[in-house]
Amino acid sequence: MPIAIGLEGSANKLGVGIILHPDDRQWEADPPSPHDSAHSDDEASHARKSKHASPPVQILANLRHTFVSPPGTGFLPKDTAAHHRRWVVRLVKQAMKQAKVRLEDIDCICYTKGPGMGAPLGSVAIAARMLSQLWGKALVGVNHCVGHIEMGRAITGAENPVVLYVSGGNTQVIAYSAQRYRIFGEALDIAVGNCLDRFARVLNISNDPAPGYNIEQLAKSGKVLLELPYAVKGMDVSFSGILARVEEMARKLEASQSGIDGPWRDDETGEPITKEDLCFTLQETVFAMLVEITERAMAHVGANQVLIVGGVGCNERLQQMMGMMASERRGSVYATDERFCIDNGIMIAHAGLLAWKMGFRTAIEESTFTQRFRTDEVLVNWRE
Amino acid sequence: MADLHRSSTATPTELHHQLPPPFDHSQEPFELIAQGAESLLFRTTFLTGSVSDGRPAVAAALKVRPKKAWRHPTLDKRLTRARILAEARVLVKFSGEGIATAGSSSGRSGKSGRRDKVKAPKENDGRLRDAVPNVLGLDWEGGWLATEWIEGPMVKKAIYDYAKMASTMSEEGGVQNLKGLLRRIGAVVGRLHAAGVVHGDLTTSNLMLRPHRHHPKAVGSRASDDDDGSVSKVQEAGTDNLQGEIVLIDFGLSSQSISDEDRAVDLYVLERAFGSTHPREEHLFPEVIAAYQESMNDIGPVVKGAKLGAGDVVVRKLEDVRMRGRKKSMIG
Repeated sequence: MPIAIGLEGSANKLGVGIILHPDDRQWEADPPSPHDSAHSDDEASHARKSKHASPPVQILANLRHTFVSPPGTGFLPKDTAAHHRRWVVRLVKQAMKQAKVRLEDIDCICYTKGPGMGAPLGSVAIAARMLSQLWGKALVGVNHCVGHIEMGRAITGAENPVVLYVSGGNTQVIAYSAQRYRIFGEALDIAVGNCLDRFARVLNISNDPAPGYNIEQLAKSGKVLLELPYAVKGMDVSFSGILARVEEMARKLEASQSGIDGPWRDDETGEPITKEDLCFTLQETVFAMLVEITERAMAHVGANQVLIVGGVGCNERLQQMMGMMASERRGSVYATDERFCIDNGIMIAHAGLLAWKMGFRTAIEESTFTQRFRTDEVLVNWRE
Repeated sequence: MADLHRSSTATPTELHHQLPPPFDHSQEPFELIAQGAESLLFRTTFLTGSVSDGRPAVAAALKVRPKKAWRHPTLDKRLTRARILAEARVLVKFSGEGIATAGSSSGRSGKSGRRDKVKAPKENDGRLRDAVPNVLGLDWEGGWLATEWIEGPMVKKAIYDYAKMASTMSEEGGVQNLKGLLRRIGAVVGRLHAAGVVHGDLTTSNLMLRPHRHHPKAVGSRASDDDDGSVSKVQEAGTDNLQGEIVLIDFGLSSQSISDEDRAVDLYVLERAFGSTHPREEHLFPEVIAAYQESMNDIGPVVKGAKLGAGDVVVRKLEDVRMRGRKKSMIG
């Protein structure tokens, strides 16, 4: 029963996870559940309730420590890397303790090879190399995006979903075909999470626990939908124009609230426009775009399952919209909670272990990291 | 209209309740053909059939854009309206482009002597003519657009069928046929761009392959009798399935643009959709680009003082767009 430890640090989260895969025989013999077990469930119920209730993997530890920058600022590579270096040993020790595994039980050390921010990736790659040398274990470099997808599949039991991967650095609509995760659509400029984060900075919304989370809370009491650009090009999207416009609106709001300009009122109701309205407007617009391109990809490949992964995937409004879309297509949506949606070590351990079982190893000389690493570069030979 | 018996129309499938008025109590047959990402496509007949003068009912495509419950109603209305109008505008523009019509959409099915004088279009003269379906009617409030019905398979299906066949027997001629198809796609996209429009959603699902007819201009009207024979013949003939003329559909995301950037993005969208839909045929995609380049150089706007043709400029721009796209897997 192979066990892997995974180290993730491509952005401002440092994650360490330990995973155990039960013997292949055991769960492959398990008849594949009718992948439509999800059909019988209503949209909100995740596959956890279905036959896949116990995922065929065991999570022995899943720890995370986040570098939070003050409101109005983002996380800089240098500071983030320093944060990871400061915490990585502590987190690994704690994870080993929690997992109650001995060193000799561990089969491989998985780490995020990319994509991500260079400096933080670098510090985690060094930590992984160190552990590999210290413990004499094989290294496995993992593509961060593939980690998200595989973890999402393992947790939800979604068999062959269209994947919407949305985070601070990535916006991709992905479907599996011929041993690759193929990218059907993506953001042509900035990622959706980046758009949300940068908007939060303009309004001085807190980065704790995450800017996107705070925008989501504010949006709940927003009422007015203002007009933003809507940029869908085929299955691709673009967010930079939206960001520019909403930032402009944020400045206009500030000016009106500080009394420089007159109050800014909604044309129809006469109600004053609020911060909440801006958050609401931004979310409704960008999420509509995301749901739209996902639906387009589903129609294109003829799938009716959709899996949302990545940090923005925790957003309950996005999950709700996606759920409505999927049920219109008589399909279902799968999403995970913040433990697996937000960057974590367990997903790296999981995807790494899948590759390890296929004989994949990363030699120490090759244990580099890279800021650019396409999802479709990885040979997914553990799937049919 | 009001005295029509409301409940008289049976709804064979549950999606039919999504039919907007007046179709919700129409006596025409509605066959659900496809549930696309944002629209339902029905095959129906539209106004043109008439018992009295013996005209046969003409097949029409009714594209309904149902309300999206998940989208904010204001946004939903705005997008539905914008897309129906964008699509109709382009289709109307091209149905008049380069071909003499009798001045109204009904002229298509009429015996306009004027149209009969028009010679068969040359392959590459830059006109769109039959490369897009004709508009029959629309209503952006109700969210529908009716166009002529295009016979033939989606290009996606034609290539899938080809791939199935090609796996059982390797046939040089088949590859040539496929290349020919790809070249025709490139040429038609070039013609579209040269006419000042970008499609916005080029995929192999949005390209139809209409079997060749004797009179390519007699679109979906009276040519139907001699069509039937040729359709079935073509479909039996293996990789000959790849023959036919390309018809562009689904212009909901199109816009009027002559910017090289937009053109390049249009090609990029197609390139990526093609690669992900037909990974085994992906290596042949350069055929599309080459034919596009030729057709644009040929008929596209002349770039003043430049040695490069319009097609060269776009293909060069495409390189930039690809690079940008490639960079996208940045921060996780």
